[in-house]
Amino acid sequence: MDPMEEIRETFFIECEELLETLEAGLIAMSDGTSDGETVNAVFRAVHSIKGGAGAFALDALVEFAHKFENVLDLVRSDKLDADQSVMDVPLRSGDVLSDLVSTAQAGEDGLTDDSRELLKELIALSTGGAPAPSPEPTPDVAAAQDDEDEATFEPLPIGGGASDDDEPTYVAEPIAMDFLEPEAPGKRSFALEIKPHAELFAHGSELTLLLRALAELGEIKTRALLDGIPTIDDLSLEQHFFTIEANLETEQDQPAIEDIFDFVDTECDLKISIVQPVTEAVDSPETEELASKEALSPTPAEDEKQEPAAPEAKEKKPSSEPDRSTKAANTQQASASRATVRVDVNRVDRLVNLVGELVVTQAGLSESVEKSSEDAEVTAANAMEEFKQLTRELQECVMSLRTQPLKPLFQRMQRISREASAAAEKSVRLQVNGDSTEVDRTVIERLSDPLTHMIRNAIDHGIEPSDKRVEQGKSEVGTVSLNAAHRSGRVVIEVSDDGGGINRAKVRSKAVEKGLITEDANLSNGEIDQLLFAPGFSTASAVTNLSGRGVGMDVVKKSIQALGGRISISSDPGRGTSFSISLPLTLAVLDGMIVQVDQHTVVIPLTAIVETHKPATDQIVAIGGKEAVLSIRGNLVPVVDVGEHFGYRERVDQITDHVTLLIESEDGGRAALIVDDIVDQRQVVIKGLDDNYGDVIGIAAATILGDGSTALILDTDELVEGTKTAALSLGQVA
Amino acid sequence: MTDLKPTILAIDDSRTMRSMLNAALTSAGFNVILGEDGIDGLEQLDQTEPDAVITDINMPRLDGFGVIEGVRNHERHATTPVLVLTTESADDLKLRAKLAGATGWIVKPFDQTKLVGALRKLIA
Repeated sequence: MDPMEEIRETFFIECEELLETLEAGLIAMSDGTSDGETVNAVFRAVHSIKGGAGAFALDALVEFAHKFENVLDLVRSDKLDADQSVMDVPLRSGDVLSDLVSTAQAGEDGLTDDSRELLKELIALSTGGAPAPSPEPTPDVAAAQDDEDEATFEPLPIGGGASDDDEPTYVAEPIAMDFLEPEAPGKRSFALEIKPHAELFAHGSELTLLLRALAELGEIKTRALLDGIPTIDDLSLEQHFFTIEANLETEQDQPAIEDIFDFVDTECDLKISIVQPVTEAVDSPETEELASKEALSPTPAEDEKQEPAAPEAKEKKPSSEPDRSTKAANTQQASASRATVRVDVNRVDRLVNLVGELVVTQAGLSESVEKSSEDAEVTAANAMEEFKQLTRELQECVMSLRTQPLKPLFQRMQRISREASAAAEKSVRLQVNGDSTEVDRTVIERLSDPLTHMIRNAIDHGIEPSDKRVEQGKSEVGTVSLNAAHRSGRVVIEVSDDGGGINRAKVRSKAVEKGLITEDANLSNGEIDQLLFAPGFSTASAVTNLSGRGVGMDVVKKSIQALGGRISISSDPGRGTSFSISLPLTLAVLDGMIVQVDQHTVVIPLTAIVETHKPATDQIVAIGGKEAVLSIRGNLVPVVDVGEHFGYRERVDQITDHVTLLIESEDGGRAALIVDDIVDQRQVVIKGLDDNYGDVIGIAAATILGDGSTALILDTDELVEGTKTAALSLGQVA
Repeated sequence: MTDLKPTILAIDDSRTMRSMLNAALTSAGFNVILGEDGIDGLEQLDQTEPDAVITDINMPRLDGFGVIEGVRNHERHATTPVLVLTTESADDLKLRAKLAGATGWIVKPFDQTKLVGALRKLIA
C-alpha cells in the first residue's frame, strides 16, 4: 500500500477518535461539568484535525477547524464565557467538522452551505460578537485570504516537496542540503565572522556542524580568534569563548549562507561580507559589505532564500497556489474505508499469554500420551482439562477483540438528538448512561439506524411541547435517556423519554382503522403497545419532518431481530415511554443446551432456560383435544412440543414420558418445551442459515457439533411468541 | 553491528503526524523513535540515544515547552538539538520555545526536504 495512503487512513481513524473526544468534551462544557483539561482536550482535538488536514491539503477542513480552534482558544483562555448560548455554536461546529471529515474521507474538499453559515458565526464569536465580515470570501480563496496566521498552512505534502509531481513519493533525499541556486553562477568569496554566544551549546547547536555545513557550500578556510578564552579557572566546557573568521569560496549566494545560521540567530553574531568574485571579476577587489546582522529573524523559512531580503521580512507567505493543493487533494483517491478494529493492548497481551500456555499444555499432553503408563493417563486427563479451559479462555479473548464500547454510537445520538429537537422546536436533553458497555462491532454498526429512529421518535412523539410540560408540572426541558448495560449474558439498551406516554386509545383506534385488529378485540395494555411494532402502523397524525420518513417501528423491530435481539416497550401514561432492546453479546457463539428430539439433535440457548422438569401427571392441565398447559407452582404455562412443531413426529401422547424445559422470552413470556432427552450443555459456534433457507419461525441458526453433525439452534422467543398468538386468536374467537 | 544512521526522537500526540514523521524520516535514512506525548517522549529520551529531538508543542500531559526543558535538564542529552514542529506560528510562541532552549523551528504541515535539511544542519 502506498505509504501516503496508509497515513491518510491513519488520519481518518484518528479523526474519528478526536471527534469522539470533541463531542464528549463539548457536551461536558455545555453541561457545565467540564474542567480545564476538558477544554484543553477539546482544543487539542480540533487542533490535531487541523494539523493532519493541512498535511493532506484539505483546505476546507483546515479553514473550518482553524476558525473553530480560534473560538475554543478564547474559551480556553477565559476570554469567552462558555455559557449555554455560546456553546450552541461549538456544538454545531463539532457536527459540521465531523461532516467535513466525512466529506474529505470521500475524497472531496469543500465547504458546504451549513459550514459556511457556521463559519460566519464562529468568526463573529472570535471577533467578540462583531458581525461576520462580509462579503464572505469564496471557498476557493478563503483559505489563502484569511487572517494572518493562515500563512502557516501551506499545503505541502511530504515527499512531494516543491516539485510538481502530483503523486507524493518517498524518495530518499540526497544528503546534501538543497541550496542549489541556478541563477548564481560563478564563485564568489565571502568573509565571515562568527561569534557564538556562550549559550550556543546549551541550545543544542554546535559550531563544528555549522562549519561543516558551510564547507558543503564550497571551499572554506577558518581561523579561530582565541582572544576571548579566559584563564583556566574560568573555563567551562559548556560555554563558547572564541570567534571564528572564515573565508568561503562558493557558487552560492548570501542567503544560502545565512540559512545555515537560521537556528542560531540569537546565539551567535554573524557578519558576512563579499570579498570578491573569484571568476571574471578579478579587477574589482573591493570588499563590499552586504549585510551585517546581529540577529536573524527566528524562522526556518528556506523557501525564500532566493531573496536577499531584510531578515524582518523573512516571514512565510500564504500559499498562492490553491490549484496545486486542490490537485494534490484530488489525486488522493477516496479509499474505501477498510474495517479496522481498535484493540486494547492488554487484550492482545492476554491473547499472547494464553497461546503461550496453550503451547505448554499441548506439549505436556503429547508427552503423556507418548508414555503409556497408568500414571500418564491421569496426567493426560488433567492436561486435557486444562486444555479445555484454555481453549475457552482463548475463544473468549478472541471474541472480545471484536467488541467495542458503545460510546461512539451514543455520541452520534447526541447529535441526532440536537438536530431532532431543533427541528421539532422542543427543548430536549439526551442523557447517556453506560456508554462504556462493550458490544460486538457488527452489532454497533447495525444499531445506528434503529437507535436514530427511536431517538427521533422519542423527541417527535414522546416529549410534549414545553408549554404542555409546564402545565403538567414537568420540567420545561424534556429528557430522553439512552442507557446500556450488560444483563445476564446480553446487552440491554434502553431508550426512554419522560414524555406523555403512549396514547393507547389513539393507538387502538388507529389499529382498528388500519384493519390490524377488530373493533371488539380485547387487548391488554401491553398488547396495545405491541401494535406500535405492527407493519404499517404510525401514530403521527401528520407525517412530520423527523420520524415520518417511511420507517416505522416495525422496521426497527426487524433490524433488532436481525441482530438476534429483541425489543420491548413499556409506557406509563403521562410519565413517558421506554423501549428496551436486548442483544446478544456476540453474534458468533452461544452457550447452549443440547437436547434430543426424536432422531434430531437440537440446541436451546441456555440464557432462555429457566428450569428443567420431568412433569408429573397432576401438573398437566388439559384444555381440550390434545391441547394442554403445564402447571408449574400454580402458574399455567403453554406447552410447545418441539418434535411436533418442526414436523419430526406427531405430538407426544404422554408428556410425563418426556422432559420439559421452562423457557422465558425477553419480554417475560414463558413456555414449556417438550423434548425427549437432555444430552449436554456446551458452547456452540453459531452458523447463520438465512443465506440458505430464509427465515424459519422458531429456528435461529444452526451449529456444528463436536462429532461433525449439524444441529439447529432454536429461537425460543419466537416459540414463546407463537404460543401467545395462538392464545390471542383463541381469545378473539371466543 | 554498528548502526551509523542518526536517530531522531519524534514526539507528537497525533498518530497521523507520527506516521508522517516516521515515513519522512525513515525514507531519508534516519532511525526513528516515536513519542506519543511529552511524558512518553522524555521517557523514550531516557532510554535511547537520539541525535536530535523533534517535538510538537500542543500535547496532553506535557507540552512541547516541557519537552524542551526536559531535554535541556537531562544529564545525558542536555545539548541534544531540539526542533519544534507545530502548527503554531505565532511569534511569541516561537520566542518562548527559543527561550526554553529550542534549537530550531519547523511549521506544520512540514515539507520533507525542509525537515530533513533542518535536521542535517543540526546533527553530524
